[in-house]
Amino acid sequence: MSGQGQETPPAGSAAGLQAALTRALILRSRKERYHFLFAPHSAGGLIIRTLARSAAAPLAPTRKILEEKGEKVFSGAMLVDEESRCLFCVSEAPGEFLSALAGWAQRNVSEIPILIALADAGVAVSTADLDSNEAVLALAPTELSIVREPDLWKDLLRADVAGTASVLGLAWPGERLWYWLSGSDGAAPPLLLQPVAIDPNHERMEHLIREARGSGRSRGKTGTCLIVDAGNVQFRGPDLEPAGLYSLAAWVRQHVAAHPALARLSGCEFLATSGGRVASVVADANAWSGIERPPVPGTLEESARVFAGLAGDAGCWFWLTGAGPDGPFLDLADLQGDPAGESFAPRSARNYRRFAGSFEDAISGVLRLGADGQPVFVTHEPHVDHWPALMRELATRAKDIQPAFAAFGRAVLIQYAGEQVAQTLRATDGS
Amino acid sequence: MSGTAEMNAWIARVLGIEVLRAAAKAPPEAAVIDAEALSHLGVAAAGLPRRPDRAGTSARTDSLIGRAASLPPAPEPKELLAQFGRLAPEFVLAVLEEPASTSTALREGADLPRQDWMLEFGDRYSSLLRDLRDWRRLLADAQAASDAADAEPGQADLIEAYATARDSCLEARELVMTAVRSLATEFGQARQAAT
Repeated sequence: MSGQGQETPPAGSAAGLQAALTRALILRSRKERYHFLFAPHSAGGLIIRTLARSAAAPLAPTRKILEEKGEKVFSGAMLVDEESRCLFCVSEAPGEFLSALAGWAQRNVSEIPILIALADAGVAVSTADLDSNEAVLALAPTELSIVREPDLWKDLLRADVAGTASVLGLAWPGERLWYWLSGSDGAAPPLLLQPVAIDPNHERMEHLIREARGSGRSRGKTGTCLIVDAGNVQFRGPDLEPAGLYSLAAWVRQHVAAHPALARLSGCEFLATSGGRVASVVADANAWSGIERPPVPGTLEESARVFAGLAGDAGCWFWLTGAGPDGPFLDLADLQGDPAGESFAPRSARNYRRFAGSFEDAISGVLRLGADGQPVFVTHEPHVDHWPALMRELATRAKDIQPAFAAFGRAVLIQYAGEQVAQTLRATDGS
Repeated sequence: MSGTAEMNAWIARVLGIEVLRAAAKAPPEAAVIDAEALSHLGVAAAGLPRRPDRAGTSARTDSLIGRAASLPPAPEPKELLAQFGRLAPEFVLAVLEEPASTSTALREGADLPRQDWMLEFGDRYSSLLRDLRDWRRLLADAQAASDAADAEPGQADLIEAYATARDSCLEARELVMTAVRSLATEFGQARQAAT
């Protein structure tokens, strides 16, 4: 994928093959026919190519290379049925193929979330020349003897409390999640969540909903939710009812000890929408009494916690913009466990998307404490003239946002150009 | 203040941070110490993404909304579903490539950001397809119950089973029709807002 959502990985790399597979599965259509190649033990795994845009046997050279390396390789055609299920046509060993595919999907679904699209895939043996475009186009699903093995796929994605807590625990402010909320009894959790970014066509959600409803849950309400700047969750949807908030709180109270991430729901709000507007907001702090929401990464609350924990030589990553919701926004993150910024780089990229005006003013780098606990910001950003004003505003508004930020009134910024110090600034400069 | 050495001395004196620099004549281990010290001071920050030079694009979202706005009102539920089906691939690409990322809390009376409204349509469409599948399944159940009752006329339990299946089926149909009407109304409002 390209654009703001994800960077495009090189086409031939494992990441490139995963991106191509993701795209092929997300956009699969029953109007198309496909060639596929499946090597369960190779880095590529499953490769799918649209027939209409490919030459006959486009995957033959790859198959030859893999076979010469002694890899087990399956190939053939893929069709999509009326219910969007994948149907693989092979020339032999359908049972072995389906077992291998399900096992491979199970091992890789956390890395390639759209592999849920393979759940309940069918397999059929065809005597046609499956390398030939004409033969694949001529395949008639109604004439094929299709085998499905639902049990092979049952553990691919489970509707359970741990799954809901895991999505919630990893959610980032501004990241959209699909939700399904049910108030009645059943074995499955009454709240199911999936990030929109990995489930744009709602496919993983549908899988979870089917399982939850199979366990006795009612039809439920759906919509999107997100963590907002203050760290609480806002559910948005046309059918939200106040009663749902209370049954959700009761469920969280029951499971939060075993699944602490559920505490992120504390203080959540239900926004009933209509005609593109928020028609009503339901929130009730009393419903959540005793369930304390932990600071959420990417919020000022979490930054204050990180800042308060700085001591000695320890530093932290910082990302600062004046384009926050009510003025400056400062994101602080762990440096010790992320010395190369591998986690902080995507976090910064998310911040740029989250705050639309930040491309004009954001500054990032490392923050540490100097003598007497003086905050020292170090950066390579070329444009930092606005930094003192941002610091002063954070310090002035500390009472309203985070008291710990009062220290920024005496902060210093060291700007590097390569390995040379270009200039230093004080928060008081220009005041 | 001028000169790197003077600056480093100032940093060491005022801030209590020692800046070590790798001089050409310094022993190799000094370079390592230097790298570590500079790393603490943020040289590693060079690896962070630089500020983009412009705001993110919304070309795909704009195109999708434009296309949706230009569609004629669908007179039949089937046509409305077909319209959504045709927009689906573009919707998926817009969601992936231009994800909604704002985190501002909304209050009563606030407009939904247009990408969020778009997601709401995606969600409603998915719900509708789910209800349709339920209806289809219940139709098949009702048909089977009807066939069974026809095969053994006068069997009270079969007639009752058929009546139950028929009621469930009608309920599912009503659910679908309500959802379709609601989707059509909301879609009309969205198209109007877009134009």
